[in-house]
Amino acid sequence: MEKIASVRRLRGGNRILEHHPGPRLEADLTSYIEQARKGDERAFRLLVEHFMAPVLGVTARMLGEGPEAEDMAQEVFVRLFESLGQFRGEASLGTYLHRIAVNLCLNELKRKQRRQRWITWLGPAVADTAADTPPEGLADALQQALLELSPDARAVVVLRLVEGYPVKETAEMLGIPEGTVASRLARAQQKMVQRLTLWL
Amino acid sequence: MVMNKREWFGLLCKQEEGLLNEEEARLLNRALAASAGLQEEQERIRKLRALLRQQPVALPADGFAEQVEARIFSRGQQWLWQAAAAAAIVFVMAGLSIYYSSGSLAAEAWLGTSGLQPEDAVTLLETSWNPFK
Repeated sequence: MEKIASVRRLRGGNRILEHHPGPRLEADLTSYIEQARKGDERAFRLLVEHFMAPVLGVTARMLGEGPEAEDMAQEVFVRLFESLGQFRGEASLGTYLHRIAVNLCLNELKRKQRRQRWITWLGPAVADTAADTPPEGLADALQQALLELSPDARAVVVLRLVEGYPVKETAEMLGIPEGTVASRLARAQQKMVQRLTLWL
Repeated sequence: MVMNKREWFGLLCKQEEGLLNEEEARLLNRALAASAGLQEEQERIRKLRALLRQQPVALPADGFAEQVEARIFSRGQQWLWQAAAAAAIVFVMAGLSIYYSSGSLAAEAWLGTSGLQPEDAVTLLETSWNPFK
């Protein structure tokens, strides 16, 4: 318990620690995964507490901060619980969770897009007043610019530029070629730079 | 070679990723040395990337782990309810189908013998295939 608590204190400032934990932390996590797999609820809870902020980080960037992102982050851990038996440890658990998170968010965003298309087809379009609200500061503007990207471009930006995964790993996590990652990154950055001209 | 603004932007992004080949790097460096506008664009990309890296981490609400456990528990019970609902639907459908075909829900109707008159039963026995005949 103490070990995990100390890890949690470190977590805030260093994302790389999440992706590439040191050997001791790696061993601790492996043992918690093993125990959770055997049905140890306490070990599973420690894993949830250790990874909840990084997972929420991804869902909040993908869906926008709020209850929906939190809901999706919880769903990620439910999926983890259901698939613990299949987790072979080829990637770190953090990477595995980020992969689940980003793909669940992509599915959700695409489902929303389909629903929106139906609504637009069935009736007159209702203006989205939230999207027209001017951002209050840089952080707000950045988040708004991120949310204006297409879901696929947003996923690439979140994994590569926010979470710091290499291009190759980002491509693997999303199941797309590296070249596609690079081109989506370029287009997304161009859009964001245009959107944030005032702040850059 | 004439390149448009978007293509130059693409090269700048590739440069940040370390994905430029030798020829592209040479081309970009030459253009950067000659164009203040391109240098500004490069600076903007670098600022954007730095800002994205420094975005604050969202903190989960209190009771996050408990809510995950509650979800797992309810998901575990959910399939039981789904199985029970499916069984109930099958039972009702079977009942309706039997009622529709025989006009009754008595035990004979479920067994499929309700609509059989005595003379029909005899005919059935006489005409049915008998391996010992």
